[in-house]
Amino acid sequence: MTDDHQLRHFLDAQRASVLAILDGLDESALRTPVVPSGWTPLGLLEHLGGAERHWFQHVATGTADPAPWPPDPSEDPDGPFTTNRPTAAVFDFYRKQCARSNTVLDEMPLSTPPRGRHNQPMDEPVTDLRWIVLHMIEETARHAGHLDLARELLDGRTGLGPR
Amino acid sequence: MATAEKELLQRRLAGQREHVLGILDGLSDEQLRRPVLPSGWHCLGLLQHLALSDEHYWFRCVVGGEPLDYFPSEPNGDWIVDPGRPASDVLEQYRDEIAHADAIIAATDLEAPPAYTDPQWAQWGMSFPDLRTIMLHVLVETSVHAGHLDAVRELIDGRQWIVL
Repeated sequence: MTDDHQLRHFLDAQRASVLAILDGLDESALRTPVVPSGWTPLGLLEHLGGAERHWFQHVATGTADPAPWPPDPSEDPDGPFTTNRPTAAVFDFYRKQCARSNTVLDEMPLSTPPRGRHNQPMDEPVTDLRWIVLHMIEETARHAGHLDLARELLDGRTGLGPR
Repeated sequence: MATAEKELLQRRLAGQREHVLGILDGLSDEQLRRPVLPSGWHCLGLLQHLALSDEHYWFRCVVGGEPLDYFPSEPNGDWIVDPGRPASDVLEQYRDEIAHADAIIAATDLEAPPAYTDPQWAQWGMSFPDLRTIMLHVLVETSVHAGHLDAVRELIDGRQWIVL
């Protein structure tokens, strides 16, 4: 197995875990904040879709496909991850962004330097596409950990997803 | 044995370990032992699990070939912390296992096959052909558990960590 297959395998496993943890939660549970900061499971999924789009499109390629919805001026960019959009639209957004990320990975070697820029200071420079894949593995895994807790508090289910 | 790819993996792993230690910083002994969720685990148990089942198992046993007899024999024993054992002892154990792991990583090539192949991996549907895969696996494990601790810390005292 080559290094780039291994990295993609780990990224796919984290994405599958996120979807497995959310699978079976109803509309109300998906929009219920479980910790004081107020993020919701569906809001976190939308954030993860945005992270895929940001890192694999904006940062890696320097451009991004149009967002599926216009910016909502009532949204607080510094607020917790929540969403008012329909559940099916958010799941569709996440799956499409992951598929789009995979086409970037099909087309660009892991050694490709970023063509765009991240909009916030990072603890180290974004060197290449490999860096971005590792970052998204970590980010998706961390948020899967957040979602694990949410799921257990919502209906007691634990240990979901491949990981 | 150092390559840019390996150094990147080492830095990312170090970053997640630091997050684990950082999110627990300032919790009292009682808070570290407080079960917050229905499944009943506590932060100190999770830390011991990371020390024994991640750092020690994957780097000392699997990569380095050390014996497996260090592992507690009772079911989920890696999560069980003796009530008389100070919290600082478990924190020290995690830091100590990290130092051991880092020494083994420094001396091993990313392509090197493991010294020990555990028959359990096949049951999990996973394979770990080299150090690279093992580092990725421990990076994921540590990240997921760091996410658990983020949420539990909020439930304990409301403290939030910068979200990625």
